[in-house]
Amino acid sequence: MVYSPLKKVMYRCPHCKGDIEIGKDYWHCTLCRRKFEVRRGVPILNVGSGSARGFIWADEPHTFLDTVEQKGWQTALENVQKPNSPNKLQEAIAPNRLGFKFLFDLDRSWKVLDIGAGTGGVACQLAKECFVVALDKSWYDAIFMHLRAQQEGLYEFEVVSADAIALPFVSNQFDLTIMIGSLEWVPTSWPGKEARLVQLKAVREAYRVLKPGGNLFLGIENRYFLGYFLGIPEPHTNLKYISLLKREKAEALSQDLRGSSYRELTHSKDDYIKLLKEAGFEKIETFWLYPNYRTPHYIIPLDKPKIIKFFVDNLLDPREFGGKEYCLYQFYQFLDPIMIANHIRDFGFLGCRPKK
Amino acid sequence: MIPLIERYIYEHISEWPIKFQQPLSLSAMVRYSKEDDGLVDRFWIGQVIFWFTGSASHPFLVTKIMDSSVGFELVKKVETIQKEVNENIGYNLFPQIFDLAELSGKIILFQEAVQGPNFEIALSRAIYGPECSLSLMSRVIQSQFKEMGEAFKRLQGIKTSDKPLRWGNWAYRLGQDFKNNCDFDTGCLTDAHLNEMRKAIDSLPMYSHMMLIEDHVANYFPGLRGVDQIDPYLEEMISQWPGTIGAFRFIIAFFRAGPIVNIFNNWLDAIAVAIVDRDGETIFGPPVRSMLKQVGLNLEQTNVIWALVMVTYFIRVQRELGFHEKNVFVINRLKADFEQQTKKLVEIQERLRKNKRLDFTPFILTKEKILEQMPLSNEELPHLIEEGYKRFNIVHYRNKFYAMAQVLGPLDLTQTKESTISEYQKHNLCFVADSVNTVKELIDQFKRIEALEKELTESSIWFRVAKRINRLKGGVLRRKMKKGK
Repeated sequence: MVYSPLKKVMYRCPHCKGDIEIGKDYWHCTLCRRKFEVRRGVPILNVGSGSARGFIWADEPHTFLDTVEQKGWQTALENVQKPNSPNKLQEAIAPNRLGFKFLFDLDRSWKVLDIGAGTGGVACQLAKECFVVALDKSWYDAIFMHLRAQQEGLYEFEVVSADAIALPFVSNQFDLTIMIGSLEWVPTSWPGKEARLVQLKAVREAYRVLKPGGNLFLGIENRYFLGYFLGIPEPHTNLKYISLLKREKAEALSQDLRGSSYRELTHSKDDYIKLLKEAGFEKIETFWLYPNYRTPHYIIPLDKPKIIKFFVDNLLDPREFGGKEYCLYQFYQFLDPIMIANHIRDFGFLGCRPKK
Repeated sequence: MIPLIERYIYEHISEWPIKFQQPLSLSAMVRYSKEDDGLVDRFWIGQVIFWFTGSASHPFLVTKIMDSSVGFELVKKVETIQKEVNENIGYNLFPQIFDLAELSGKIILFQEAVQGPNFEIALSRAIYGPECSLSLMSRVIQSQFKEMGEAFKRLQGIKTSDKPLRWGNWAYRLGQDFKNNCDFDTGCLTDAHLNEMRKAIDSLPMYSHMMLIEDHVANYFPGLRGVDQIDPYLEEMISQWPGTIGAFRFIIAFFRAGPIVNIFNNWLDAIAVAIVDRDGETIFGPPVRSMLKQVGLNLEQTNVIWALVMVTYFIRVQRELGFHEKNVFVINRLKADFEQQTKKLVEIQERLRKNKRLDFTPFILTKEKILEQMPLSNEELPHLIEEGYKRFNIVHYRNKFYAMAQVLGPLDLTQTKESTISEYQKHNLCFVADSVNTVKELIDQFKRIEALEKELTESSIWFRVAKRINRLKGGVLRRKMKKGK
């Protein structure tokens, strides 16, 4: 395993904000003297349990990681693919996972932080164009990305296992932070705390590590997706109607039906904007990531009703709406574009940290 | 990239012959190639950005970001060719290119935005949209083939060879290459088949002439030609291929396009039937034949037409093999598919040679057929197919056809339990079958039995005795009632 002591970003202790001393097997905080393990080349800087199973979700983490080392990451990923779950390999390699990058003038000098990077679908591909730090709560996903990066020969790339609400980085370093499909999961690791506050904390952390003038790109589901009204299950909980209910009722439903708390909060467009503003972001732009935020084929600005109308009238293909979703196609045809903007499936938000 | 392109547009737009709403305030919408899912190794245009200004309801400008494998020279060459075509045929067959720029290491093409949905979306809506109907589908297909036919006819005017040439050997070579690349070991494409194709093609000398570059139906106009018109093989196509191939590239792409292939997955049969459909029995026959006529082919020479289909197929699939060459899983699947298709290709070749009639039945389109075969759209919702067929309403729901007796009144099949349906069936108030014809046969059968029963009972002695008793009973009753009063 290659060990590179040359770190391009400055780390700090996620507990006490003290300086970090980087070692081969352990990283040490010079202030609180905490020791952080380096597992298979990846520093584990979590402040919580660090036991999240992550996106890969193989039953035997170490056996899986051995397979990654021996047979290559693509083969290993194909082997753990389960029926009816998102296509892990496709999510790891699809070039349009980087769809959002065209919203920026990205260049080699940029430093990007991907929070909740999973299998590196975004981070590893982006590392071919600029410097990227991939962060995941799950050490398991983080090690996978580390091995993937080694196998792909990515040198402009670092991986850490850490928590989104306590980023182990010194402030004002990144040009771009990305949270795609991760913010909604953050509260699940902090059961005792109010879910929205945990999300706000994570967004504030993303803001803190950005350089003044830097951007956050957030890709996330809509609480009020029109399909949920038609009985399409909410994807995080696999329960129908849950996100549409008042939070207390949703909590009761979640406890009743799956025996656990409803922590995977999603919000409306306005509530996300409010959340981003509370964290300090300005010039917030909203997009419709169609068909979803993972592999968008279209990025449509939601502040321009005429563009939404144009998209629905000219580019939406009825064949993409099967079964219950067929009604969605019909609704989109006659709904007002502003109404559509509030009831799409997945949002993309672009927030800017003010320069001063 | 968008901010960079946006700045470029603001700086240069005054130099371009383009109309736009003043003042210029740009908004962008990004579209990615649908193949952009990591499974295709190459694509020439990565992203298309539609630019809007002010409150305009349509984009006025399209920018295309080229794949790094496409060089500046190639794009420039394509621009020249497109200009030449537009000038020669007298209208903008290709959207006007305003500018080419190299920004941040990428080649960006600035092009006119054309209004309307593209071919595939228009077709898809006609078949699967809420307003779908056979007549709409027929109209859309007619107009698309007509438009393409016109375009091909005009392109024939821009010849790149001095005299018509014989293309048999060229076609034969392509067939051999295809066979070798697919490692066919079953002999499904023999030398005899290839020689027959060569002979047929040789019997029709053809010019090289300009042709359309893109052969995906999805990207053909009318509509937002936010599309791939840059192709490294462009020069080879227009100078080293017979121009008539252009029409066949469209036909194959059309029949293999998603909306059509969902209905007819045996698309080669569908093409063959369309070509020989002299009496317009199928929805495809008249438009396909009229386009072939427009490009100057003799419709009676079906062997020549089929030979052109074969060679175009070889070109198309070779290209697909090239696109997926690094992906072993996809390649193996493709080769297996191609082997099946090639068997079909030569089977049709033989049938046409022997003048055997092709089976039209599967391609005579009815609404039921579309509903039966559309896998992705509204199969979850009941559709009324026919109202009042011998006092039954015929409804399509979840791949079954239900004939519901009208006496049952309004009924929502989505809410009706299976036990209730069985109960109705027992009492002949409902029939269920896999096709409309079968369900109608069941109704007819039931009606015949009902009529027979009526006839039998009315003519029987017991019926007459019972009728007399009833009448007597009625008389007694009436008398009793009178007394009662």
